[in-house]
Amino acid sequence: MSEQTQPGGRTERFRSDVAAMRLSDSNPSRERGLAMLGWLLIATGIVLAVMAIIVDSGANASYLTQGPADQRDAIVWAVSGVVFAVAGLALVIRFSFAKFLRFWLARLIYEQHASTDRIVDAKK
Amino acid sequence: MSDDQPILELRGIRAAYDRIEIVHGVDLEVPAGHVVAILGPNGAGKSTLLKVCAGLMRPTGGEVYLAGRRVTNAHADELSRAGLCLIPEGKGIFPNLTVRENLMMATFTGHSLSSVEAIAYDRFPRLGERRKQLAGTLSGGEQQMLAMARGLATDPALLILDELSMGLAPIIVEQLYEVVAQVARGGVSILVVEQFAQTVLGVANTACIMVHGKIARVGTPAELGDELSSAYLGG
Repeated sequence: MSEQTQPGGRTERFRSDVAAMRLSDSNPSRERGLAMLGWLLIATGIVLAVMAIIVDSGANASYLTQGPADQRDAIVWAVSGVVFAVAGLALVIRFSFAKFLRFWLARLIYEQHASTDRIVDAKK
Repeated sequence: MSDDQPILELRGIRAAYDRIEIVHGVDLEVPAGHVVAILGPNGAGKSTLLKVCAGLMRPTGGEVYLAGRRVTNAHADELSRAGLCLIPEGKGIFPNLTVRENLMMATFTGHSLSSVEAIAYDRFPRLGERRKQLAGTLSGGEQQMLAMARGLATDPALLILDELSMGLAPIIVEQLYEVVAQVARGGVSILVVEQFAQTVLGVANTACIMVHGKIARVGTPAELGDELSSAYLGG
C-alpha cells in the first residue's frame, strides 16, 4: 500500500477531488418522470404514424378531390409522429439506459486494462 | 479548506423504504484519519445509513457532506471515483469469477492489474495461493479478504465497512481487523458498522450506539463498552 496510502496525502487528494467533482445532484423522481415522458412520446409518435397511414390510405381509396388535402394532413401527422418518437427515444436513452451504458463503459475500461496488462506482460 | 473538517458528515439523515422510515435523523461525523464504529442490534438501521453515505440510497431528509461538500444526491459511482469505498454486507464478490478476475474489477479506478494484485496478495497472501480459484469456492473468511483486498486496491480515502465479521470465525475476524488497523494507520478514514462489538472497539477511535434508527450514544470505545449490553437488550 505504500504507493497508495501515505498518511495525510491521500486525505488531501480526496479533499481536492471532492471539491473538483462535477456532481449531477440528480433527483430520481425527476429522472423517472422524464423516462416515462420518453415512453409516452414514443407511444404518441407511433399512434400518430398509424393515424397518418389510415388517413392516407383512406384518401387514396376515396379518389375524392379532398384526397391530396388529406394526404398533406397525413404527412404532417406522420412527420410529427417521427419527431415525437425520436424525442421520446432520446429521453428514454438518456434517463433509462444510462445505468446500463455506465456498466458497459466500466466493462470496456476493464477490457482495455486487461489488454494493456497482457501487452506489458508479453514485453517482459 | 480546513484540515480539521470531517471527511464525512451526516446532518439529520432520514431514510425510508417506501413509507417505512428506518433512520430517524442521524447526525454523525467521521474526522480525517479516524475509525468510527457504529454498533447496534439487528434492524437498527446501520446498513441503511451506510447505503445513504455511499450514494446507494437517497435520504428522505437531511444532508450528506463529504470533505465539506454537499453530496446528498450524488451517484454512487461519482463518490466511488472520488475515493469512497463501500465493502457491503455479504461481501459483494463475484462468486463465478476467479480471485484474479474479481481483483480485475478493481482496475476501473485506473490502477493496473499488476499493482492491484501486488497490493491484494501483499495484504492477504492466502489470496495469492488461490488466485485461479473461483471466488464462490473460497471459505467465508477468504471471500471477505477478497472483498477487502478489492476495496483497498481502489486506493480509498474513506472506507466504509458493513458487518465485516458476519458469519466468520473469531480468529478470522481478528485477522481482518488487524488489516483494518493497518489501513487506518496509513491515514485512511474508516466508518465501520458491526453488530458484534468486541473486536471493532479495539480499532475504533470513536464508537456510536445506534438503536431504533437513532444514534443513542457517542463516545470513546472505553466509555461505551459498559453501555453496549444495555443498549442491545433495551435496558
